[in-house]
Amino acid sequence: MGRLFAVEIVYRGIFQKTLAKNISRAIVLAAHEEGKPGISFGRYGDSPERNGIPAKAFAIVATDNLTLEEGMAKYEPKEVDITIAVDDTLCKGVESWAWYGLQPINRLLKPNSSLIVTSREEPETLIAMCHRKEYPYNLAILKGIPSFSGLWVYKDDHTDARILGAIAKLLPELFSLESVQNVIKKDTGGELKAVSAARSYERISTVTVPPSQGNPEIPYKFDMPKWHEMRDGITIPNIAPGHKMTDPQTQAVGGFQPARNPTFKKFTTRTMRPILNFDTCIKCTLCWLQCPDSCFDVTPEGLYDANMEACCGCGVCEAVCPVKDCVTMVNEVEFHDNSSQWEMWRKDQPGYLAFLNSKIENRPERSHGFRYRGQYQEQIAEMSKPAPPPAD
Amino acid sequence: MATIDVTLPKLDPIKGQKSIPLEEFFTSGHRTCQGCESALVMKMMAKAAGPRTIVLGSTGCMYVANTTYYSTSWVIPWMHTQLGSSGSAALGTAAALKSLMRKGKMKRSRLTSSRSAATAAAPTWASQLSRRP
Amino acid sequence: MAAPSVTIERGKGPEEIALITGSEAIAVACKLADVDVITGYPIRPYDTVMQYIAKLIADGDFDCEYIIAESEHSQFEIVKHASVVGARVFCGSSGVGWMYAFEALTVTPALRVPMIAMVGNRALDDPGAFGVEHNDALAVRDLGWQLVWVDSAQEALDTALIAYRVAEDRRIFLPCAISCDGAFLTHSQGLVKIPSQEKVNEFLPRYDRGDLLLHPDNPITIAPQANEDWLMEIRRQTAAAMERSAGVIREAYKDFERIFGRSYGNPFFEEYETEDADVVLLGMGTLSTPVKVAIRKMRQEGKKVGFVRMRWFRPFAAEELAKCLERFKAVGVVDRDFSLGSPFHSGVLATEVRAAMNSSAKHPPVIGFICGLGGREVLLQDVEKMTGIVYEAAAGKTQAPTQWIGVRE
Repeated sequence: MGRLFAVEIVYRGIFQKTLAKNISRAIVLAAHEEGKPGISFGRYGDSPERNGIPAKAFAIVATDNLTLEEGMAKYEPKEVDITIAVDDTLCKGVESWAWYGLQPINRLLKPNSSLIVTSREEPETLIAMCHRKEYPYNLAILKGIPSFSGLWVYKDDHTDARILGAIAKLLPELFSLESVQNVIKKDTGGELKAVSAARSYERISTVTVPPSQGNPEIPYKFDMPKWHEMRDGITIPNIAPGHKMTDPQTQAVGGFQPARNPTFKKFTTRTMRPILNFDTCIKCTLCWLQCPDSCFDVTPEGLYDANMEACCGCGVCEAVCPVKDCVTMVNEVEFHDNSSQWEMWRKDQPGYLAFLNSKIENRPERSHGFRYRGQYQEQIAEMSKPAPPPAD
Repeated sequence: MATIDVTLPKLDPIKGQKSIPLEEFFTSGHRTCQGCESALVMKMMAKAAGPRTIVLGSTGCMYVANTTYYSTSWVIPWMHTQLGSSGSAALGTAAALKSLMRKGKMKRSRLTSSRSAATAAAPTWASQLSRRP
Repeated sequence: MAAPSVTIERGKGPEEIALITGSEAIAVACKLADVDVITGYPIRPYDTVMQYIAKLIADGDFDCEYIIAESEHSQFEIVKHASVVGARVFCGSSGVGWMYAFEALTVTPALRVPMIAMVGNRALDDPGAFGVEHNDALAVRDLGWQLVWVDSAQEALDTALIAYRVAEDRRIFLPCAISCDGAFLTHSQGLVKIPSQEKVNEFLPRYDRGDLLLHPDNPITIAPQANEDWLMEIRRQTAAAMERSAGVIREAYKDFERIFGRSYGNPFFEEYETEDADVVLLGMGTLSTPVKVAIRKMRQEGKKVGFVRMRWFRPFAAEELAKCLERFKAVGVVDRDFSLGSPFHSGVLATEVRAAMNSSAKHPPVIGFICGLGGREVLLQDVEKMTGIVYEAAAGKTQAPTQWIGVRE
């Protein structure tokens, strides 16, 4: 009985599809350099992918072909040696196409194995976002912004090479740095990416996360019915019609809140969320009307509150709002729950305004996807500057 | 003497932002891309067609993403049909309603049979809006 | 790494090694076979082969007329006619897409057109699950299509080459559908040896329609309408071709082994751990992997169980299979398909196996299992459960002839 390795890459659908596939393939090829057979596949149920909706890819490697068979013909492995999250907001949990309910980012990790995240945040921030695990695991951060691209455009910013270098350091039984560099050189014919892999190998470090740290919430899940409990004819009941809203301060009733799909919420698709200025809103109705996910609840006084359970962070509301800084997309990492902004504002108007302004002022540059044509051309000038030497 | 049965609801054109009905008949929880404009069209079509509507959706994003895994975002009744069959499906639905109501087998009421094809081409409500009662 | 789909590692011996899916392996086979006309119409999971073919053509590695039809019906009609004019053709579909082409699928074997099609096995609508179910390919089983199931990307590539050799043999001239399980084969990349063009050229002769070629130099009428005076004879001819098919398949595999150095043993079915087995399971496609893993585990516990993996479903090697199966005390057939209302409400494969066993003097009990529909994984515990049931049958305890495994109940 040989050894079976599994690595999963959790990524934003479409935007990081090629990145995930390249990492997964490179893992198999690097292991193959050392004579280990492997297979690479995306989680089939996550496809066809949708922009931003979390998805998974896997690389399964074994010491021999017979052992490899244990990891084949499966939708996903039951446990992994390494989880890679190529966008830090995925640490809040993953609600993907292939799954009912919320999966913690660290769900498949074996004890004392590693979660690698590309992020500019500090470990404490990320740990607070990840759900608690019943046994310890390690967190490794690859400093950097998440690498987003598109279906036909690939942002070759060496994220893949850096991750491979990190894996070689954290799991040397899988493959060595030399194997990684061989695969890179065969693919690119050059030295530059191989150097990135080596740098990452030298610099990657881990923090152990004990079971006491992390988000204590129990992620929501569903039990599936038995065949004889289901209605005939592939039939299910619809979503209920919505209802009026109640003002928590005055108990006034009015407006409208749609009923939401109980089996898919979509908020883990967010990398940014809209923050609303209810004081400057002119009630033009555009954000509410143009939201493809019907997430705006209409309040009794006719304001529009983006429901954070349903919002997927697409940014259409910010784009259509005619008032400056009334709807602003800000970093999702800055928030710890899905509480209602309108209720917060109703409770403490000046406090909310301060909260709003701090989120807007402090927002780092981050993308919630493919924002506009020509974006990468602008970034190329930045990217082609050599990185400054490390601070040490 | 021949009579022409009209089972279509009387839909007044919606003029101005403030008169848009608040009710949603296609709500959240569909697994579409961030910012999906097809989902937006479904939402607006359903909102304009109103609660007395049956929607037929052929295979495509507006089937696969909206009703993934035995889940739905629809408040009004919806049924899947085959690729390229949304016209047939809507026609069959409308013909059945007409026949049943005319023969007294179903209570007469005004219903819309609306088709949502993969690219959301011209739903039937558009033609109703241009008709004067 | 921004690698192309096919990563070739040179200098590893006479064959290059690439990390590719079953679909891509078939695309590579089309390129090696120098296919002339390919049509496509996207449907998951077969559409992956379209992407790889398109890429090979766009990169200048493959010269082929590539047409995206407006539906599967047109897709199969186009290549049918291309083939009659002498072009080597390739096509494919999945699930209800394949069903949409049914009229074209029906006439293709009757016209003696050696089309090679890839079926990315997918559950039928409704409800249109993307995962594997074998009913799509099985639906044409009476019509004259040769049907083969493969369980690895390597086997997909090799079988595609063999399929061209067999189908285009003048004694046969029948189409062949190669079934690849959706997801587990179409979307999973494994390491595959890619044969050299020289070897493929040696193995595959040119497609020659001879006197059946539709061309002004050969003035013929193909398929005038026929009545009761003619149909029996026409069908008898097609039947004779299918009857010859098993022999041609054996020849092709022998030659394949000689040229490529890879042996598949008995072309029609693979036997795994059957030499001393008490009971066996039988199935098709990628469920072979969990079954083999479970068998190794059960053997360590002292259970003598084996597995027979059917490759060729049409022609069905009934006598050979009966001779193989009559050695065992009981047989469990794992159907990744359904056949509602069939004898004992079994699956298609179980019904065929029982028919094959009818010719044998011995009649071990045959239990039919319905498992893994819509891509649901065949788990190790499912295999152990099925084996347990088959053992009970072997011991003489009556078992329900058909059992659904892995359904929530």
